[in-house]
Formats: sequence, C-alpha cells, structure tokens
Amino acid sequence: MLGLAARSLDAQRYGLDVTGQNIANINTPGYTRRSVLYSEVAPLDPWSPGGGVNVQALVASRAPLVDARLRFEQPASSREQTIADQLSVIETALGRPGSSIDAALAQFYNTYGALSQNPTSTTARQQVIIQGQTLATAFNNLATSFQSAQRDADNQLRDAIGQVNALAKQIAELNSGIASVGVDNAQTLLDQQEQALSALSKLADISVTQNGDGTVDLSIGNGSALVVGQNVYDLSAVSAGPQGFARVMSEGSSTVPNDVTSFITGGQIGGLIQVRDTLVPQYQTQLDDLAYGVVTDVNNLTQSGFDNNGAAGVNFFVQPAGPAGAAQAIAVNSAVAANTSLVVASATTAPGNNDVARAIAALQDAAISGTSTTPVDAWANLVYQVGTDAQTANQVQASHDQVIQQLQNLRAQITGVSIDEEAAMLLKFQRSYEANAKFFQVTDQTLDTLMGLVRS
Amino acid sequence: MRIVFSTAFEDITRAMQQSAESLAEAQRQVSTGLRITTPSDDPLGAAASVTEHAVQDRLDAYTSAGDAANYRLTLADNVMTDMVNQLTSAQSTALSARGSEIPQSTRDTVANELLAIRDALMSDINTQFQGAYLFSGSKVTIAPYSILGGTVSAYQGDTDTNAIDIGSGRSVASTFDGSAILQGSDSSNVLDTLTNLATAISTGDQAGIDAGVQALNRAFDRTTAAQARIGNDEKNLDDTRSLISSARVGSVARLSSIEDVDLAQAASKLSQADTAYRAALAAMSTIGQVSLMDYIK
Repeated sequence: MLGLAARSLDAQRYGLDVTGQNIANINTPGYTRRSVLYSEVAPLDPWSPGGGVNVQALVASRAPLVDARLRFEQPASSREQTIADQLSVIETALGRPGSSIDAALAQFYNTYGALSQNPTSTTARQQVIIQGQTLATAFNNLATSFQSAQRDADNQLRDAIGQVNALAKQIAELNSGIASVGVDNAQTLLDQQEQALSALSKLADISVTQNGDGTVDLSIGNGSALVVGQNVYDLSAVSAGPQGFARVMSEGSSTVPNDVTSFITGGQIGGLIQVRDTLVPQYQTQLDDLAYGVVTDVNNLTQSGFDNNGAAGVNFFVQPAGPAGAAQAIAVNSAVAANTSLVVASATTAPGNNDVARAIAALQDAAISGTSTTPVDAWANLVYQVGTDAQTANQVQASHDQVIQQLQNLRAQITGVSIDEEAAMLLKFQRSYEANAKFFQVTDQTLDTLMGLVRS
Repeated sequence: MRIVFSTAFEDITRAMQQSAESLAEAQRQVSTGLRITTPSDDPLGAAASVTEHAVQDRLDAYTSAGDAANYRLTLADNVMTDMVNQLTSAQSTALSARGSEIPQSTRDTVANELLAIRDALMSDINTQFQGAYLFSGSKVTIAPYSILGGTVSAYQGDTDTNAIDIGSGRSVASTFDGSAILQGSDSSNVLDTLTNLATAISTGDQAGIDAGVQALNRAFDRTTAAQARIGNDEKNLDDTRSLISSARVGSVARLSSIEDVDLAQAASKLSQADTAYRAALAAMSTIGQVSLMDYIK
C-alpha cells in the first residue's frame, strides 16, 4: 500500500514538474506545450484493486499539418519580402520625378535649344557640354547603382547558402539524436527540428519528407538531396559568368555537383536570384537602350552638321558599339569637351546656322530611332516598371503574411502555453498530491494501528 | 479557441507596429504634402509625374526661347522703324535737290546729308544682338555690309536665315537676310544707291537723281514689307506665349493632382491613425493583468 501511495505521489509531483516546465518555456520560440499521460497500474490478482498510477508518456501538443502548411507559405512570403527590400534600394536610386535622369535629359536637350538662339555663343556651347556631362554622369551613376544592387544580392545569396548548409547540418544532427533516443523521448529535439525547418523554409523552398521515426529528409531545387538521415549534401556557391555571380550548386547524392540555381524560386534565395538575374538585368537593359538611343540620335545629327569652324561635325558623345553597357559607358567625346568650337549647331558650313541645334532640341519630342517612345517616356516606363515590381512584391508579401499570420495563430492555439490552463494544472496536481499524501498518512496510521495490536 | 500567452502579445505588438506605421505615413503625408515618395507608392502616378515634369521643363524652355526671340524681334522691329524713317528722310531730301536752279552749295549739303543717311542705314543693317549680326542670315559673325574708302562692300552674309522654336511646331525668325531688304532684285543695294544719288545731286545729274529716288522708293517698300513680316512674327510669338502660359498652368494643376496629397483627407487619416495607435498602446498594457494565477493562494 505504501509503495502504491509513494508511486502516486511521484506521479502527481511529475505533473507539477511538467507544469513548471510549461510555464518556464512560455516565451521559448518553438516550444510545444507538454502534458502528462497517466495510466492505471493493473492489479496483480483478482482481489487487488490495482497497483496505483504510472506516468505513461510525456505528450507534446504538436500541429504537424499546420507546420507543413507554414513551410509551404513561408518561402513565397520570404521571397517577396526579399524582392521588396532589394527594390526599395533601387527605387531610391531612381530619384524623384523631375530631379533625376528625366530632368538631366530635359536640361540637355533644352541647352541645345538655347544654343539655337545664339549658335556661335561660346557660353551656350559650354552649357551644352556641361549638361551633356551631367546627363552622362546621371546615366553612369544609375548603371553603377544597378550593378551594386546585383552585387549586394549576390553577396546575400552567398551568405544565405552558408545559412542553408548550417541549418541542414543541424537538422542532420537532430535526425541522429532523434533516431538514437526514439521519437517518444525526443520532444525537445523535435521542437528544435521544427524551428530549423521553419528557418530553412524562409531561405528556400525545400521539400520535406517526414519519416516514421521522427527524422526528416530534405531536398532542394529539382529534387537534389540536401539531408538524408544523418548525411548532409552541402550547397556551394560557384562564381560563373562575366560578372562572377554565384551559381547555387548542389552535390546531391551524385558526385557531380548539380546547378540548381534556376530551380530555387522561393525563399530569400529565390528572391535574391530573381532580383539579381531577372529584374535588375531587365532594368539595366531598359536603361542601356535609353542611353544608346539618346547617344545615337544626337551623334547622327552632330555628324550630319558642321562645327563652329565650318568643319564636318564629330560625335558629341562617345558612340558605344551597341546598347549593352551603354549607360555605364556614356561620356561626352573628350575632343568636344576640350573645345567648345567642336559643338555642332550648324547644318551648313556657316557657323551661325542653327538647324542642327534645333533638331537636337526637338529630339526630346520625338520617338527614339527604332522605337515608339520619346526619351522621357522611356524613362517613365522604367520608373513604372520598378514601381510596379516593388508594389506587386509588397502586395503579394502582405497577402502571404496574412495567411502565415493566421497559420501561426492556429499553431499557437494548439501548441502554445496558456497561463490560465497552467494555473489550473498547478491546482489540479497540487490537490492530487495533497489527496495522495493524505492516503499515505491514512495508510501509515492504519499500519500503525495494526502494529499496535501486535505489540499489545 | 485557446488563448495562449505568446500570441496575445504578438498580436497586439503587430497591431501596435501597424498603427505606428500608419501614423508615421500619415504624418509624412501631412508634413511633406506629397502623396508619392517612391514609385511603388503609385507606379502609374510616378510615371505620369515624370512625363508632367518633362512637359513643364519643355514649356519653360519654350518660354525662355520666347523671351530671347522677343528681344530679337523688338530690336529688329526698331531697326526697321529707323530704316523707314531714314529712307523717308532720304526721299524728301533727294527730292528737295531736284531741279536745275538749285545752287551748288545746297546740292553739296544735300549730298552730304544723303551720305550721312547712308551711314545711318549701314549702322542699322549692321545691328548686333549679343555679339551676333541680326541681318547677315546665318553668317552671324560677319557684318552684312562694310565700307572702306567710301566704297560699300557687297552683301557679306547669306540668304539662309535662322529661326527659333518658340512652341511645338511654332518658330519665329531670329536672323534676317540683309540683302533682301537693302537690295532685293535691284542691281545695287540702297547704300550704293545713296552714294550714287549723292554724286548725281552734287553734279546736277537729273536722270541720276530720278533713278536714285525710284530706287529709294523700292527700298522703302522692301523695308516696310520686312517690318510687316517681323510684326507677324511678334504676333505669332505673343499668341504662342499665351498658349504656353495656359498650358503650363494646366500642367502644374495636373502634376499637383498626381503628386500632392489631399490635405483634408490626410489630416483626417492622421487623426484616425493617431487614435488607432493610442488604442493599440492601451490594449498592450492590459494584457495578462488578470489570470487564474492571481487566485492561487
């Protein structure tokens, strides 16, 4: 009897311990509420009422379906968040309407308009050169900003690959721990596993296979293995292409690394790849096309005319071979910059003619050769494109965040710790402990009475 | 639904952050008066704003071109007026020396007056604006006519005149063909005509005087015609400037509707955001104040 009473006291005290553990971890991320599963100890013979109580298991309140759903939503949200963050830097680089490349374009063309009013004026010619240089610098700076945005994304991508590898290693180690102690005794490890998987799903879209023994296998991209049991197959960043940007390589289970860059579309890595390889190059192309169009149209006119000395006109800007890299390369012809006489305003050998200056000023109202948009419209299109991409990323991210929020609330409702509930548990185990202690006392007194009979 | 400790805090923290964000945005709109700070605030609006700024820059450039054109046309108009006066004076002066009974001394005086008028006309046609000759066609660095040892040069400019764009598809002359005014289809320019006329008056050559007076009449007609063309340009310029001025007012209004915040609306949003933020703060301070724990003795 006393043994039964002592086991019961232990069991109730264990309940109190678990409640204490729940309260202690009320703010621990990833902690799932624990509860004790008691079972009756069966009687040894038909005349025995039973052997008391046993602690059968420590149960964690998990929400596997919600966790899986969260892992599905997280990469999309994280990807859009990354795109929005990266584009906000590019948006800043674009400058405000009326004080960016649009203003530099307008001022450049309008100084040619001013030159047409006084075609032989050295001051007006100097102004044209200065505004040409201002325009070139504005193009150069923005092209540089685009390149640094790409480089930043690339650096962050390399960091993220390192984080994926660290998390994969942690998950493999957890797999090892869970397998060795058994899934029922690995609640803490399972909490950590869920935390690691959640962190991983923010970095990339990973496929998770849950095994019966509580371990997980992970694959990335087009099914390339990342973690299988206790084995980790690291991702690596291999510099490639003219700019030396990182390609994401997966060893997988094969010996030849597999390029999975184009298969990772979600998470921070997916977002960075999208910004670095698709969005920014697209903006760069639009900017290059604009710079090339402006330069070519101006040069065609200056070559058709004559300078202030009546000699055949030369290019005002250095003519790039093609649109690629034009925004980075645009510069005023150094010969012209050094000699205002070489600025072309005249369509005849008479220096006072202003037909070319007027024609260049009028370029701002006409479509760039070979296109259907004016220079300012082409710039407005670029501003619109960046704005729309950033706005879309923000909106998509907000909508995914709503879902994630609801899922996290749902998860917390299942797995979280409630103060009222734990207080009730405290009372419950306290009262049970008191009752069992009373039982112990009564049993002890009963035995004492019996022993008294023997003594008398 | 189970209410758990951490979500209660997280939910209200998030609500508090959102309210603070809305409040900051409302404060920014009210303090800057701008609705769009980055293209993603309103991509279409940002693109329209770029276009509208370019329209204004263009209109401003046209306005400044119009000002420059106005100075030139006014100057050219004044020159024409002076030339008309000089030619009128030359006509009456020449006619006063017509007839065989005019004494030699009077004829010499008249001849000298005509030479002075010639010099005045020469000065008129060689007028410069900001260092450039107005009446040399496109050869703005070369004087239309020069005089050396009493001999007037041939026209040194060209017939290719310049124009300034003062509006979309509108332009006015900025230089003029001096020979078209002084010579036209005549065999000699009016400056040589005046030299010859002075000689004819001095020598009493009546046929020469008649021919000279007729040439002066034709020069007068050419000058008044040129002045009329300048007058047309001035009228065109006035019309265009007025159009540009109203176009700019329209553009400023459009830009304002794109970029500027509706202040009444923004102020109301600010007040709403402020209330929401205070409510979130108050809610935060009430979490977990009471629980079953309070009743465990």
